[in-house]
Amino acid sequence: MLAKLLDTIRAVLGRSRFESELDAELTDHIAKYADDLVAQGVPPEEAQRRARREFGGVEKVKDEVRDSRAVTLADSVLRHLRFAWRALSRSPVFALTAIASLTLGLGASLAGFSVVNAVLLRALPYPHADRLVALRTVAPDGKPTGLIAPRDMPRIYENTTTLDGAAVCFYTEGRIVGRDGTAHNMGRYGVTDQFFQVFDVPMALGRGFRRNEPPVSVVLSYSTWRDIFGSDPKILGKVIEVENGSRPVVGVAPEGFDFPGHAGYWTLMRHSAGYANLRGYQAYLRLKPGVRRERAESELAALSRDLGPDANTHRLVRFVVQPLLNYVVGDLKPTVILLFSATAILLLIACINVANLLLSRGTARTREMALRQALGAGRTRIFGHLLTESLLLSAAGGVLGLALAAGGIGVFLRIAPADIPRLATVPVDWTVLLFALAGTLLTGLLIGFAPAWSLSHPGLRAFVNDGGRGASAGVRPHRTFGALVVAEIGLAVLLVIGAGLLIRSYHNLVIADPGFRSERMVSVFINVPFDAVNVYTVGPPDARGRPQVTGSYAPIAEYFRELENRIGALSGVEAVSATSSVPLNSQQGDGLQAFTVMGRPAPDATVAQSQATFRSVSPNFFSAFGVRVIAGRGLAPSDRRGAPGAVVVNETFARRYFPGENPVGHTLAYPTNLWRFTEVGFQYGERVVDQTQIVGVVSDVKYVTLAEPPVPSIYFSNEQLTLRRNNIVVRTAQANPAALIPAIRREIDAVHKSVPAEFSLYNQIFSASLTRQRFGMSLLTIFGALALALAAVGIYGLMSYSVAQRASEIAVRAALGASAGQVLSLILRRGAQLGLAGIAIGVGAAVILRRAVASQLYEISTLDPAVFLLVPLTLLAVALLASYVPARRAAKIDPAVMLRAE
Amino acid sequence: MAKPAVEILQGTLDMLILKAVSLGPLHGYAVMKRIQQISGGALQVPQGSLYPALARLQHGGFLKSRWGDSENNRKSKFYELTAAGRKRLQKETTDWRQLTEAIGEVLGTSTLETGLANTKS
Repeated sequence: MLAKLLDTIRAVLGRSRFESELDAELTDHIAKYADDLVAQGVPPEEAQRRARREFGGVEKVKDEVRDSRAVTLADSVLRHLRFAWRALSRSPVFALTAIASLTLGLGASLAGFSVVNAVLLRALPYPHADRLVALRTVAPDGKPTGLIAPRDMPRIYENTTTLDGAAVCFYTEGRIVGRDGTAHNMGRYGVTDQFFQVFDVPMALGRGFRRNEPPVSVVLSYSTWRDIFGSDPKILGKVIEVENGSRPVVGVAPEGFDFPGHAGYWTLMRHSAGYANLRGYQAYLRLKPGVRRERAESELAALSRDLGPDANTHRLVRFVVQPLLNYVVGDLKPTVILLFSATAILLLIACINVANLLLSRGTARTREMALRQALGAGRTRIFGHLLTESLLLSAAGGVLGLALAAGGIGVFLRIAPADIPRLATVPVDWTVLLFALAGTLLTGLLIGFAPAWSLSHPGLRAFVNDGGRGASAGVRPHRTFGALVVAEIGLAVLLVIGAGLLIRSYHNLVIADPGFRSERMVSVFINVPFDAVNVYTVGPPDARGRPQVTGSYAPIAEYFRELENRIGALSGVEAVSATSSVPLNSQQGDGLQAFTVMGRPAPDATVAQSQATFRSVSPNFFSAFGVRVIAGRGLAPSDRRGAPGAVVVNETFARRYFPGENPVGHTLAYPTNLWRFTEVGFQYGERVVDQTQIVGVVSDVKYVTLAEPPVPSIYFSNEQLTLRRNNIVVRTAQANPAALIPAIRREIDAVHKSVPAEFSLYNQIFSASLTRQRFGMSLLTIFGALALALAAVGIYGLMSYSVAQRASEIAVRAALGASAGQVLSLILRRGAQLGLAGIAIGVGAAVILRRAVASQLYEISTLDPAVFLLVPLTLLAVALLASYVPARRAAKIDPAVMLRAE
Repeated sequence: MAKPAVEILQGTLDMLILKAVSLGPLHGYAVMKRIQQISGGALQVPQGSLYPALARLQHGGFLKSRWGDSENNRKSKFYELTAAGRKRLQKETTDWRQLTEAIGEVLGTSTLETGLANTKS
């Protein structure tokens, strides 16, 4: 054992000594044999020759001796590497072209995989993240997107055995006043007391909330602590000013923790009777170790019967437990997978190109290989040499590709839409490196196998014998070559069809009608601060000595009315209106809320829950922004406080809840107390009417994104539903709406000095609403273009090679009277054949795989005829164009010159 | 040289080499000649497979080698048996005898008419 080991070590370390000794030993043997022959009377020179001849191939023997010493692996890898390096450095242009292709392909797919890894694969940054789940309910549409009502939660805390913690949270816009008195708007989450225990993150400072702690304290996010309080190490216990009062800081969350997203700080939710049945909260659970999701789900199902039917829907709640990761990633999965597949296809195309390069180079090297075989090099050895060569190429491509990917990810992150979750950092971790290694190896084998196989084929011996002009050796690589190019065209077709569908879909989105007049529009978001406009009146104390608090949002309504009037009076303003949400501004989503239709039988468990988004607008919103009144009337200034409740609904609402019926004249009622004068809800707005009559139906407006269908909406006049947060939308007379911003800003300051306002231009909102689609489309278009270019190079390479191979045949044809035109068309026909075969495969694949893009498309069939016609035509044109140059070369062959050279 | 050369059976070359060097250190050429001589020229060692076999045996720890002077003042590489080599030779010899006896029984001939023993006569 030890001897073996030592011998191996000696063989590896003392390679050159080993080689010279082996050489000396064999020379000695031959000399001794020659001596014997001389002793038998053979003349010395003759003896030398015979000894040599009878010994056989010295190189072969050496090879076998080397092989018999178990160092073969390390040893032969070194030998192969040296051989490959010499071979590649002899043809640098070839090597550089191949490495460039592979760098491109590997770089793209590594970048693609890094994104897949960052978004879909890597664990969430919480301890035992696999035990974290999101709790949802089944929504009326059957999807597990429904939310949680606070009344569910206490039972969930207390009556389950599968959970280690449960927390609820909701988002609102918050505000923190810094030391210097400046107010900073930021996201605030109201959470229940176990929130920080559920996530189990180590706090940067202080603590999370405690069980049954009174709801006054605040936990800051790390960035809030750092940016607003200058990383004050003594922040704990200090009282800071937040949106509705002074609160003590009890903790600072660790860096990077802003769950559920963009949290500036967290406060404890106050349990309020008014909210108990509001199904509007996100809930998160931590499962006990070893508990499977299904078990938790079945326990919650049992609990649901104890809880009784939901107050809004009158149905039992069906709880759904999802891995938190799925919830965080959301609907992004198909997009990410699509992009990654595109990069993988690109890599495959690059591989085929390099394989083709190797093949055509290999044909030029058949003689070298045949010579090596004749000298005794085994087939395995030659195969190994050639495979090492391609592995060396792919390794170079892999290393450079990794660098390209790192750079590419940087660019990618800059152009990627900001709302893609988990993309803040795209780490190059072990998973990515392992993928890079595997991908590089696989690439090397992929590009090298066919060429190495066909070159190490024993048929070559015949080739040497007939002087290097035999047709037999050429056939095999040629056929492989053609098949590879067909596959390459097929892949390119697939990718370009995908890109084409996305481009068409994007175009459909851009020209889609958002349902309102959007030209020359600027909007101002205003969240009226509590200290700017007071809505509370504190009256004399009651019998128990507590002050009587009454409130009204009339001052807020008054504030917005005045603002509207002032802005409307500015010169250059064509129309002005107020609305609680600006169309296509996804940051201002209005949640769904429940309503009932008066006079209809009370809904039972079989009736779907009735929900709609509530919007608050000024009465002139419809006429000013081109929303058509389809039935009844629009809202009127007379629909004010004190007047009977009146609402307008959109078409989708009418279709869903009053199919085949005129909704005008029906009365709606609202089961939740949201926006009624209660302790908590009153902070954000007030609905002054409990029942409203539907007075009209208006056309649909797309509020969320252009791609998503409109949701049922109920429009209240902003007198009857008044919100603190509102938008003033302005259409200007002049072409550049931004020019009016300073004037509008002056009017806002004139009404109240300290009200912050955020301006956005509609074309920016519009553009922002399409970032995801634009992003996906641009990337796929780039990949498609690259695929086209690579395919063109592939066809060009094959045709050039084929023309070179057939030069003498073509010369004979020309000598026999074929015109240049006939030769040209001969070659072009071959190009067209390959192109058509590839197109057929690509179109077939696109038809089979069409579901992969379906979720990304807007109002376009996955079999869109325009795309399925144009892309093949383009590819055919590319194939012909790429064949044209070699065809021209063929047509110019001079038979006299050519045949003389033979 | 009158005897027709017999091809060495697959796997027996190692045994023959071990036997050849068991009498004293030999260089490669001498190993070849020794086998030929012992067999009366009946066994022809293919020159090409001799050195791989030597290397294999050395790597396996059955042979050790050193460089030394040989006839005509040449530097030659001499091989000799190690303890492991001697053991293996013994074992292979026993195995071979058993094998040839068994085969002889099957073929209905005496041991003497088969295998190595026969070629010697």
